[in-house]
Amino acid sequence: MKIVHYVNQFFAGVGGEEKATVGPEVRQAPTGPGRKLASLLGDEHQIVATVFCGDDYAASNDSAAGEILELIRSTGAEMLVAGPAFTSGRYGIACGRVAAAAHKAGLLSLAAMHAENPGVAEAAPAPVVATGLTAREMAATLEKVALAVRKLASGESLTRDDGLVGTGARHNRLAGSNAASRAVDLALARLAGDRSATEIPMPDFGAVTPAGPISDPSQALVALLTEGGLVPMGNPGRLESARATKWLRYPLDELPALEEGTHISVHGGFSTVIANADPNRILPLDVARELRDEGAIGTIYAEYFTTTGNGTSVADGARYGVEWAAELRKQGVQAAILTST
Amino acid sequence: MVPTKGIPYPAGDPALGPDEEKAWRRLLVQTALKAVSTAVHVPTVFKPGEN
Repeated sequence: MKIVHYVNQFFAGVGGEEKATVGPEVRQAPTGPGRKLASLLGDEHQIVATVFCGDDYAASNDSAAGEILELIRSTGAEMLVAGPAFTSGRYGIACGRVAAAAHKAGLLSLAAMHAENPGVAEAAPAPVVATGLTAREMAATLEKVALAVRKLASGESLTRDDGLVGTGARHNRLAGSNAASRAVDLALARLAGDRSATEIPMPDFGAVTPAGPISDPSQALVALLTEGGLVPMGNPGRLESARATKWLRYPLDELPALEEGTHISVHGGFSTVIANADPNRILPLDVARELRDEGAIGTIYAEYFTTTGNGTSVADGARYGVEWAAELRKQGVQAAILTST
Repeated sequence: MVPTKGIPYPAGDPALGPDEEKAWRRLLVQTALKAVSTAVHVPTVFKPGEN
């Protein structure tokens, strides 16, 4: 089977964070981890091309998955393998979206990433194979991916034993007994102490390891963030009032405080009258400035990040979190205060 | 996590007078600074003004 492999700019050898904005391109050969994967697959399946894209471009542009899909189709491959993305958020989201798009376009598709990567939720109905945490586990991960490729190529479906995570595609099948008896069996199993038996696994929102403490706020660069839909008057970035599809950044510079009439909340989940009368009620800039002037805070980061947390999908929310954390780290921010409405 | 008083005003309380409300907001930010300076391993609540 002819396979096209999707990787990010880093694994394509194009560059690191400074190349994260490059658009999608195709190379007519296996590249980076694709070379090892090709050797594991032997002669039976060939990686005929690699498509790569910068992480920022792929995760932040709504049109990116479609553009990448066009390149994938241009290679004539019958199957797509995306990743492994391990725990990289933007890369995982890109792999998930590309795998979903390729699946819908009729290609056999497979993505590989850590089970808690927010990209897992983006891949359905394409299957995702779980990987370790980092590229240190590349060798073992690629062996698992090669096994999954062979299985999919032979027409079989992947199972949890193959490392399948997420919901994947759902298939109808005939159960051995009716729903009533299965429900009673599950209830009896639970009474007998089995806490995991279920036909409908509940969504696992994962766990985020808390950042370590900062040693001294009076020396720290501190950011103010909000999901309260706070934007400059007129909402120049057209932030949505519900189901936000983006986050925005606006300058605070040396503004001493937010004022009625300079900033408003566009949040559609509560009455914004009280917030708009004093926007510091959403983003506590006035007192943060006071504490900075008194020396309790080192510096306040010169921009605030904002989105609307109202009916926002968990996948989108997780992506904003990953992107905010990456951006704040890049800017040298040590602590952030995020107000939640 | 620092619990506050209401969804529409996470850093305020319109039931208070202007000076009292600002003092409340200041206490919230001071508590947040205490939180980011404290090692935690699981979701942890820092009540305003406590500790």
